[in-house]
Amino acid sequence: MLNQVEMEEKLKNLIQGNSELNRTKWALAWKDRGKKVIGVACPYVPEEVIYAADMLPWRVTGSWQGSMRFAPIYRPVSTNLYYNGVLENFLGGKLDFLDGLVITNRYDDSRRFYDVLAHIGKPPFLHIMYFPHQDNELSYQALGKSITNLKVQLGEFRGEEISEDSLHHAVEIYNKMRSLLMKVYELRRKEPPPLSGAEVLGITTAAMVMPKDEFNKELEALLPYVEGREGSFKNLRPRLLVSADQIDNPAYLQLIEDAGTIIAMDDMDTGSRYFWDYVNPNMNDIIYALAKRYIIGPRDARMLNWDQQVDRVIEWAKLYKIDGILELVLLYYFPREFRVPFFKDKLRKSGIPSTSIQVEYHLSNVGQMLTRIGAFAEILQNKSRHQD
Amino acid sequence: MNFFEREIERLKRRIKKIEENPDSKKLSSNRLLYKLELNRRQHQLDWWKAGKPFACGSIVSPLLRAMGFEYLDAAMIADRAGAEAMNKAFEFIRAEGYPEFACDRTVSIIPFFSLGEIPIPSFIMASNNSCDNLMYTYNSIAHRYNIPVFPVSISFEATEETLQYVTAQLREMITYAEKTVPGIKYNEDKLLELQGMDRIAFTYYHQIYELKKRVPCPINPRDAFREVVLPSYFPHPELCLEWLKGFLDELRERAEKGVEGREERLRTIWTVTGYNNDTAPFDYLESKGVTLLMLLDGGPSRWHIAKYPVYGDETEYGRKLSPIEEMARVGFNCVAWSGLGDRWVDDIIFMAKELSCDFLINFIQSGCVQTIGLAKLIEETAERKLGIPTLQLEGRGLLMAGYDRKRVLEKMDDFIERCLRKKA
Repeated sequence: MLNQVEMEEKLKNLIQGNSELNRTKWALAWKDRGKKVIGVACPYVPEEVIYAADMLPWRVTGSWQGSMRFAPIYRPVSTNLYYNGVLENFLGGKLDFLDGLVITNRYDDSRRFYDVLAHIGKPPFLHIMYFPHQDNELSYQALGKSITNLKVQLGEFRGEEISEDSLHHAVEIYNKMRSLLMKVYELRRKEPPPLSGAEVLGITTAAMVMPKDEFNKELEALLPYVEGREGSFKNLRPRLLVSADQIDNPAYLQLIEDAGTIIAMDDMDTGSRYFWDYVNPNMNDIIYALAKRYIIGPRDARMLNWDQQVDRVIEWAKLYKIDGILELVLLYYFPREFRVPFFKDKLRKSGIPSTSIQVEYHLSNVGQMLTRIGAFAEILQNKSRHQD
Repeated sequence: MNFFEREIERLKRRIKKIEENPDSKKLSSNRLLYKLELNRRQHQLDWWKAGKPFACGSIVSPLLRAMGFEYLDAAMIADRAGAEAMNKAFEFIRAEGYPEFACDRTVSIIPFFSLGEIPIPSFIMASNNSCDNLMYTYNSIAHRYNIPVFPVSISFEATEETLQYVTAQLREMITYAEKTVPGIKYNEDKLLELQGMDRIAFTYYHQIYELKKRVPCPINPRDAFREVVLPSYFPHPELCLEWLKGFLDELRERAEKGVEGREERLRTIWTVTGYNNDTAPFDYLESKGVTLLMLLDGGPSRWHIAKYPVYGDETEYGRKLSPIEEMARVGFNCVAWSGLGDRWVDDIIFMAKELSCDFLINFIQSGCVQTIGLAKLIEETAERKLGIPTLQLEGRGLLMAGYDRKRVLEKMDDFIERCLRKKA
């Protein structure tokens, strides 16, 4: 039985799972066992299929450094900054350990990123999946075919078909991960929550680079400790919900909280959207079940059902007693950029204050960000005081 | 004045100028082209005044017309809006929080409705068949103005399976439009008629393409830099065929007689788009004896090449396709930009080889996510497979703020001089 100090240390280790120092640890250990590691560069990839192939799905983090030496040879700076960061790591040799990469046609630039990787011949196994843009029966069928194709390609790559049983088992493990992360997120409803936004992002991104059963074990052991933990925050209000895409550096969220806020909830593909909603394990057709979950689950502006996406955020804002929503708009991620006015307008009509800040993938313009967030926080605090 | 009214005035002036004072260096068939455009804009203006339904969508004009809509060619309207309208549009975009760095041809459509330039459509098809930015532009418009929108999602592969997937979506779209927009009813005979006329247009484009293979080529840079238009884009499609036939006949005549005072020293194709509000680069190319053979975009321009199946082809899928399947094939499944990169790079290399290009001009259009990530791939592939260099030009297509003509022309000059020396 570990004491409090030891539990806190264990928690911090987990939170640091995807740090630059640690993130390849499990992947390299996996490879030492003679197994394969498949990079995942998109939250729409059904990782369960990779896991079912007894390969480690490993979410690729891009370079967190501002300057790039290699990526600009192939991709202009005015393209998706996450993919540029990933390409920088590929070309710089930092991802040479990857046996493969799976991506989807998340948006046009995803395909072009894939095209560059195909052109340079990295990594050995490279696969792009089609992912529909709508939520309807035709889409579930289409995605089902796309998932089946991924299953076949991975099977050929490893020299053995992926069985139905292993797929069911993978779904079970992933659903367990989802339920554990849901428990963490339920704790965020507390005032104050036991974990900061930055800490939670550390945990969710750790899930993306660790073998799932290992992650589940770690988190399950930590949950009782986390339940009783007291989070440390400058102020108890305002409570924010941060909405973003591809941002995976907890330093971003730390900065927001350093400006005097609490990030009580997120709408991020590296956060809540990674695990929210389960795969129905009771469906006869497990591929169809996967397709349905990955389409219906909370999605970003890339999917065209913007109304449902924002409705979900509004629902979360009420559940998590959110004072305001901060949208981090990744420069050159156009699906979200196009949705910004609609997002803002719908939140305004729901009476939820919000603000949007354009950001780069690596943490930059810190002073400017602090000023803007500080100003937003002040507005929310004043609003809250008037209401009291 | 709205866009249609301005265009009508501009086209009338142009037609008058040609009729009163024809310039022998320019194509006389341009008069037919302007009349075609004038007819379209007048028809659209009248349609608008009568409160009849418009529909927006990309590369789907035959189907939208066959459903009873007037097709609103929003992206092409953006092309012709002019620098002043574009500046105003971008003031709106910045103020409202839309992405100012997205392709200007797509995002600028959003303000045109608010600014009263063009009518708000009754129906929108939002598809990634042209590009995501256009799809999100249309989705934004639909959400902003509460317009029924139907998404059609396409894969990057053209197979029987994906063809059926797109076809099923188009059928659902028809049902949805008929239910949602009063007076709309799909007429298959109309679709067949329009596809038939487009098919004739394709044969003309194939013949134009064959003429472009000739050395010297009978086409001048400004005329090459036209987006391919099809009869189904127009309310009177027969006028489009009349112009295309006239254009083809005139090029044939020039090919036989030769073009006076033109020396062809180099040949090239230009990809994506250009500095649409400045003709100086084309004048420069002409002055240097560079024949600009065509503008190769990711949409209809690929149908210049006879090898790509169009309406009526039975070899691609080993059978005759139904009219909706044909729409799925031509408008969605084989659009050059919507596949993986090699689909478009292969198009460029194929055309460059067939047309005996000495170099390529690749335009890195700011915000065009379909293409800017392929610039280096095009350059490396052209060098490896054809031994020809690529001039990479950068900029925005329609927004002229920040455009430095002198710098662009200097870059072109430096590159072309090197090509001339190499050829010598």
